[in-house]
Amino acid sequence: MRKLVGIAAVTAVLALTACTGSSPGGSAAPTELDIAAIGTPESFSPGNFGTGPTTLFLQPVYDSLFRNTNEGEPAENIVTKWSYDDARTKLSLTIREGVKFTDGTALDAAAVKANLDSARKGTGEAGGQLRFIQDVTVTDATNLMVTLSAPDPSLVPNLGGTAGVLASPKALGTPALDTTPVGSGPYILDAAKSQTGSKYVYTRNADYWNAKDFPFDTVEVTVFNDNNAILNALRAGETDFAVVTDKDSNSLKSAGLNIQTSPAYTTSGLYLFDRKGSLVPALAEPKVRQAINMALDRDAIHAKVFAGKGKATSQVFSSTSDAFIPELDKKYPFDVDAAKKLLAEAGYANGFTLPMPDVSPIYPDQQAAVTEALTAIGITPQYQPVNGQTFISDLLAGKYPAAIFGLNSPRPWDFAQIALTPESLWNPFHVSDPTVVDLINKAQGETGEAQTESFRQLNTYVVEQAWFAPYIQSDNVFASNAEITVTPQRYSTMPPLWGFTASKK
Amino acid sequence: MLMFILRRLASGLVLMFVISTATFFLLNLTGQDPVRQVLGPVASAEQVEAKRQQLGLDEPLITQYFQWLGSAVRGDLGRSWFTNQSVGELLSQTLPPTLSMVIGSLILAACFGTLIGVTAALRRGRLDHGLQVASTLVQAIPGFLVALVLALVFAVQLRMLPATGFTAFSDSPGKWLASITLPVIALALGSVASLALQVRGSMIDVMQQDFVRTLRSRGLPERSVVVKHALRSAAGPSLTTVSLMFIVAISSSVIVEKVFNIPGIGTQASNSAGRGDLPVVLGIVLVTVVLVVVVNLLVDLAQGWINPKVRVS
Repeated sequence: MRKLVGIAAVTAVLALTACTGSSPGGSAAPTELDIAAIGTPESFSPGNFGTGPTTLFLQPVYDSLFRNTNEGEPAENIVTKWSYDDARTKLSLTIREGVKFTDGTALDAAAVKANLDSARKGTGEAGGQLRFIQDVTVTDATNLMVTLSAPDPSLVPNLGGTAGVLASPKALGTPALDTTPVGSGPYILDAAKSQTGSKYVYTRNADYWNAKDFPFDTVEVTVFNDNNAILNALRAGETDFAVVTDKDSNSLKSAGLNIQTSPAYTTSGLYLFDRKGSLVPALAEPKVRQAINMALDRDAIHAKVFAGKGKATSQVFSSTSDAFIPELDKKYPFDVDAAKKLLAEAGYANGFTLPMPDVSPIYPDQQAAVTEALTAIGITPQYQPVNGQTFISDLLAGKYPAAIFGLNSPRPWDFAQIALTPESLWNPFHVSDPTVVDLINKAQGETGEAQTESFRQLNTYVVEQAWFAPYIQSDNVFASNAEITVTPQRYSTMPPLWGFTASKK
Repeated sequence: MLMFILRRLASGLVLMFVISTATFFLLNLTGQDPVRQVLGPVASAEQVEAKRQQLGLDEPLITQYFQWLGSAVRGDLGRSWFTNQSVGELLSQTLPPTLSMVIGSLILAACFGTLIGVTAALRRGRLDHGLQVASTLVQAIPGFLVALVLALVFAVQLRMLPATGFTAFSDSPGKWLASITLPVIALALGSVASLALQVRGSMIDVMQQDFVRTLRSRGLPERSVVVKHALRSAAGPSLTTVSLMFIVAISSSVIVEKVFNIPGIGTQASNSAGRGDLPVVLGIVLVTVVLVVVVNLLVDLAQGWINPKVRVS
């Protein structure tokens, strides 16, 4: 009897092992791409998307008007020709002929107009990127004119992202589009194999006009809720790609995975939102904010908190952008005595209390470093408990005068719109500075070197006025298995889907 | 018997009503604005207001409650505020993975817990002592740690079993079994230990009773004395432990699902509660109460079958 039980147990184990489905090593190119993602798509309706990691759910099913290059510059895709008028408020677009959505509807100028009109009313960040569009006029089946209320230097590259995706006009405005996309993209969502909120399986669209750029027959995006599970899936070969952190990259490398970075992606630091002094009067004083900058030992934070990864900086504009000025990083050397002197000159020789959200569960080392810096010059941080689910909305509502945080570092114009104008989302106290507003308006109407110079002046002013106290620009780190080659894209959270190819052997 | 079952079902209905009502009002006390959570920070005030009306959240709270209750009684649990997916459909997707793990862990715990407990009770001496110590130690190990170690060793290092994911039984029974093996072991380990100690204690008491001596004196084989008679008498308290284990397994499944990335009801509950997706949370609460009521009822029926004295009382 005991022998029978033992034989049965061994047989079961062997059967299980045979059924794990792990793919045998082989020389054939992979036909399926498996991606691990944190977070789920807000919606499949254009205009309701975000612009972050959830783009990876959308790119398989939707074409976008433009396709941005690896350097983040717009190139043709559905749009084959485009031009601005001299005032840069009229954008002419010529559409590729012969493309259809998967429901048979033609992708023509009218379809593009329908999408832009719908997306502008959207509730997501993608819709927000179209706010300067005033009107869209169809000239003929393949030509249309986009009229802007004011120049938008980032409109065309943003139309290469989620702001420019195209759904079938028949599906626009229907509730079903939230969960069931109808696009013209290289893949179709396989509803039978997918499960909302956990797995999205995309199978090849046999009629796609540019199939050669998408070598995989199937793309599977699996939602994860735990970072350790992602690491295990990568190490076990159950997923081909994931965004990881710097601190995990070494162990993943030793497990045989490829590690790549997209540089200067997130700017971490102490964001001094209350520059008006509404909650903390001291923060209205530039000398106080400058003192905070001088209290931060950026080199030590870079070495000890970020293990030497990324770039120590006191600028918020991405170091990969033309607005970045290397010399500005010398503006605030680490000097506690000089910082105390500035505080005294501002009338705060005895310091003050600074309420902030307690982010130690997420950024324990950063919070410890900032606490040490602030207390050294007499500022007492007062950390308040945070509800993880409302943290972002609380920051945006102006609940905290300052916070340890990280913001993406997109194109200079986009960053100015996100954080520097009085109406910016990440200017929760609606601080208005005439110099900042003038420089942004000036850059808006310029191009080329003139625009770059305006952004550099804006950057210089923002640093000199110490609007923020950043310390590191971190790279975005990706892990992929050896069978996949990934090419990141500047200014983009995730590599684009066409950036995934089978590795050459 | 029929009256007994009907009484238990009726009390289960009352339990569902009380718990869902408490959940509804507690979640509305969090102070979160679910509409802003749904639409995100970019949406305008007008869009937020329009969405609020669409979801019926501009109505007084008590009106919202009765609207939900009325629909729930008719079998309509509503739709997720975030994904617009039907709550019923969502539950039908997330229940099977969790039930696979939980029921699997109960079966494993029942089999091995009983085997170890009986062995310890009969053999005594050093084996008994060793099993007691081992059981106590195993109970002290947190479930998530067990899950992490199992995933690392058997999935990542040895590649014997999957590290993540769930395959439905209907897609492939073999892959289904493979995908739940490590999660089931992680959930069952602590239960095996506690059940083993429970069974051991009960068996020791029962084996000392007169009827056991009588059965032995009549020449019955020892195996028959232990399995057919003593174990049956000792099973009562252990069955109660099994029903408690079910509740513990349901709540522990959240952690195990996260470690193995299994899209079960635990993960769904955690995500939905965190972002304030009230219809989904209420649906999960109702289903969980139903499961607990059903399991307790089955345990009571099993008690009655095993022990006629329970039936009479």
